[in-house]
Amino acid sequence: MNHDSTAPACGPVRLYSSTGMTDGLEPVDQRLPWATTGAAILAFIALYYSGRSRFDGVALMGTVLVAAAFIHQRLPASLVLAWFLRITIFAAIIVLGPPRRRINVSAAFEPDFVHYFGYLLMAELLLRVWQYHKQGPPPGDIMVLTGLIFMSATNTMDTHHIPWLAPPFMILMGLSLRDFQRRGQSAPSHRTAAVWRQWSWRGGAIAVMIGLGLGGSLAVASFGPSVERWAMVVLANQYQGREVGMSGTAQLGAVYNPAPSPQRVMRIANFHGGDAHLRGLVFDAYRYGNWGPSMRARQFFPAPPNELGPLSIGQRAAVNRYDEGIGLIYAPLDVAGVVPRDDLLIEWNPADGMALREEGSLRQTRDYDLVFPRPDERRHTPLNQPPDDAQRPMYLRIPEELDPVAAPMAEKIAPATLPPIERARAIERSLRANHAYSLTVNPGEGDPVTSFLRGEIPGHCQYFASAAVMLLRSAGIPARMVTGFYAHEREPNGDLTVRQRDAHAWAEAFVDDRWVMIDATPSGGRPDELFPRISQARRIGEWLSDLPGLIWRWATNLELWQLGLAGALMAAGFGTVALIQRYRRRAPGDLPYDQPDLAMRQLGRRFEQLLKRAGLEISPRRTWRQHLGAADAAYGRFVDRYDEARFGEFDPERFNRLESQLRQLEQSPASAKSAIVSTKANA
Amino acid sequence: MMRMQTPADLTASPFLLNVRRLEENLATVIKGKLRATRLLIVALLSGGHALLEDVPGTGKTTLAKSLARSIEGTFRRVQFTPDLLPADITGSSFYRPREGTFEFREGPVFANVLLADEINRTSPRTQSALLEVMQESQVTIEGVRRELPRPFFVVATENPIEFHGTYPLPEAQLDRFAMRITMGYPDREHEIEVLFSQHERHPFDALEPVLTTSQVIEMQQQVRAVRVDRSVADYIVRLVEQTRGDARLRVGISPRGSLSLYRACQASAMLSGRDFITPDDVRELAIATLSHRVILDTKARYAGARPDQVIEEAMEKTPVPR
Repeated sequence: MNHDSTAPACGPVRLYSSTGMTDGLEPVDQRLPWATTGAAILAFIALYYSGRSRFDGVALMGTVLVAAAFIHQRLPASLVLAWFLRITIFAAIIVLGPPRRRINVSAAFEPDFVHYFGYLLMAELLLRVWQYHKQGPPPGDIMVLTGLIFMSATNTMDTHHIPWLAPPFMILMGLSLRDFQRRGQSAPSHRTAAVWRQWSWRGGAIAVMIGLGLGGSLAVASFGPSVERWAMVVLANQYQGREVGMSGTAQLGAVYNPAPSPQRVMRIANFHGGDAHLRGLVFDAYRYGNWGPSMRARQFFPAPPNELGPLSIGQRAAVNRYDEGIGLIYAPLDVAGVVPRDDLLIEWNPADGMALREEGSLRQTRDYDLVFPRPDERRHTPLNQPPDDAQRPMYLRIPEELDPVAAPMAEKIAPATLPPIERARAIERSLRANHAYSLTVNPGEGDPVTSFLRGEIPGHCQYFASAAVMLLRSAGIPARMVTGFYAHEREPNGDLTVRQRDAHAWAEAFVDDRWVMIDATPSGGRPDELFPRISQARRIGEWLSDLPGLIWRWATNLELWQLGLAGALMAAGFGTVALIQRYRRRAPGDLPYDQPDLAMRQLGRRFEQLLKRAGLEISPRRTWRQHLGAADAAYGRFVDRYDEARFGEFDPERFNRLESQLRQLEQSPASAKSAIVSTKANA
Repeated sequence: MMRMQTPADLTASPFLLNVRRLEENLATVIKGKLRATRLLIVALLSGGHALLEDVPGTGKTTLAKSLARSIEGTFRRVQFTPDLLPADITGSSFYRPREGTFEFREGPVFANVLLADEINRTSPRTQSALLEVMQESQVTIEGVRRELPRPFFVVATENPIEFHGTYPLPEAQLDRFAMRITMGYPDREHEIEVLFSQHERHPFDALEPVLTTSQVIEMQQQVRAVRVDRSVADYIVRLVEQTRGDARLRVGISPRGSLSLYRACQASAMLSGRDFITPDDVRELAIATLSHRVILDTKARYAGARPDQVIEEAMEKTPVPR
């Protein structure tokens, strides 16, 4: 608030502040009121927890945007510094990225890092737009940033970003055209040129842009296929292909250099024992490399409430599951119960091996408990049900093209004289010992399992699982193929983390009136040994993203007095921050006076930039006029007008005039130099 | 250096018109002393009193006289001498034997403009008689309070204190002057002009009043309406605080000093055609308004410090609002 010395009788007293202005352009403070800020942040948090992961970025950026209003003065103003910071951060991301042990690719081009880079740039773009808004067109660096975001979005082939990014990109590009003219410091000729000439410059620039765009799209149209082919060759060698992870189908197709996605699927607390096979989908019908039935062909029914064992009293493991896009529920074969927490409804698929699914929830995390059986509990746990008469032939069916290969092999490996469980184990051992593992597979023509059994091609876990199923069936043991996750990654606190790359496949054999798990994949092909360790940077990021949930859970368990104490501590914290801010306001370098509002301050800062660019050292202990001398009339006039708006009575018209005057000065920095030269000469 | 800002609507405002008439009138007598003239006008319009200090013969008395004559009001002049008594200034009662009563005869202070010439040639006792007069525009003689006419403006002239036969003005007295204005020698061109202008007769004799007392009062009121932003007021106070903490000074600047600077800035802004004051106003007037109020301690004085230099340094240490 400003103090006004005049007596009320001497004309209207108007304070120079954001209040009371009604018309014209208001140089108001760009900060939102407290209530609005709080509401905005809450809205973004709600968006974040709405469960739609594609809004995560929006929510994050929105929060940053709101927060930007508070840190905005502390951002480095110098472009050089900003770029230095940006490059440093990107370099840190690359250096702290995962070890490039197996994948011969520069980490800079990994989709994750391009994502991070994109987010980084987007945050900065928003900050910059925020900073410059109300002050004419955004400068060229905004356009450069937008271009980089666009590039990083297209580079990762995340095409769904493009419709969001393209319109602002074009608008900003158009607005930036002016700026490029203004900033061209070496060639000032067009600035003083006639209006038609300036417009011809702009027109030329627009024409070049359009030409580039048209040329680019024409090139893509005519050379598209060959470019694509070339790109595919490069990608096959350089870039990671399909991501390894859980899917709704099981196919034994060609795979090049698959990308192990470190996306988390589950986090299991209180899980004792070693590693675990968590089954998801079960397949019984095999034909030419495809396992069925597919997810769509299955029928899920609400699980009878008591069948899934909510009353079981064995050991309980708590599972937090993140969205993996399919909606399956993963559990070990011999689990005694799967008990949903909250209002989660579980459906199952009794016809096809008891796959579990959650019923249409949109929440991002779904929580359930796994109950493990006590030794004396019943033999047939909910998921381990013997096949009925209709199912039994399905579990023994072998495609006729496979039979001539599989039957003799099965007979050789597992003679009928052995008991069934011994036969099953023999098949498992033989596959592990005699077949080569590779994630990159090209099965070529013909049936993939046949080629694999003949030893013509290496295979990944699905090949091993399929081969095991076929050999078991040939040996007369009912068998089925299972896909799910191999849980092995222990957190320091003992929790198990399961990621997409831990997706695995194995077989189940029905022997001695119960299902037994047969994992024929050699240990070097299991996810725990196949992939490099998760990088520390990623772990920190995951911990940070879990933090709000952890805090929420912790806070909801607090007593009332504890909450009161927390409130008091928070109030004390805010008080400290307020004190620090008060102290900072008095720190040297910052003017100790009542500051004008933000718009005025920015004008002042721009003017000082202008003077600095002309080589003047600006001391906070001298007035501008002292720095300037009386040399350049235009600069003196600006200072007059500034003083008028700053110290005189406020009038929106004055502010507008001031701004246009400054813009004129900025467009002709040459005069500043002459001003300075003559000032120095005077001195 | 005083900067002349010439607003476009110079002729539009009656205030500026009056100021210009006054300046032109003074310029016919005082050549090449625009800054001193202007500061004197600032002192007059801010409602303070001015002290003109310089070596003899630089036109102090002429400037004061010219200003007095330019205002249509009563003008008295007191030549301060070592034997002058307080009653000679304020006035005293006379016994009238025929009527058997005392009659009060007004001294020279009962005037609109009082020229106290060579004020430091009289004793501190007599100097102090001016204290109440200058601060409160009233005189108390023999227990009776008497109001002085308005406007009341004291212009004192003095020789620098190092000169023979002078008594330094006491601090309390000095503090009551809004400004100390130094004249300085004219430059060569102007000195030649001075010679020629007095070729036949002194131009002072042709001087006519250009302002009435009521006009001056009105202008003084207008000056008080000039807007002062809180940040600029803050700047003034910080500047003054800076001197209070200065180790070289025996006494820093009093709040009366900051108020004088505040008023002077208002008047100066008005003279520049503005209705608000800026930090530039403060910087321009700081030395004239503040330097005579500080008292250097002996050590600093012998080390060669000067009051105006102390004020200058205070300005270099105080951040400027913008």
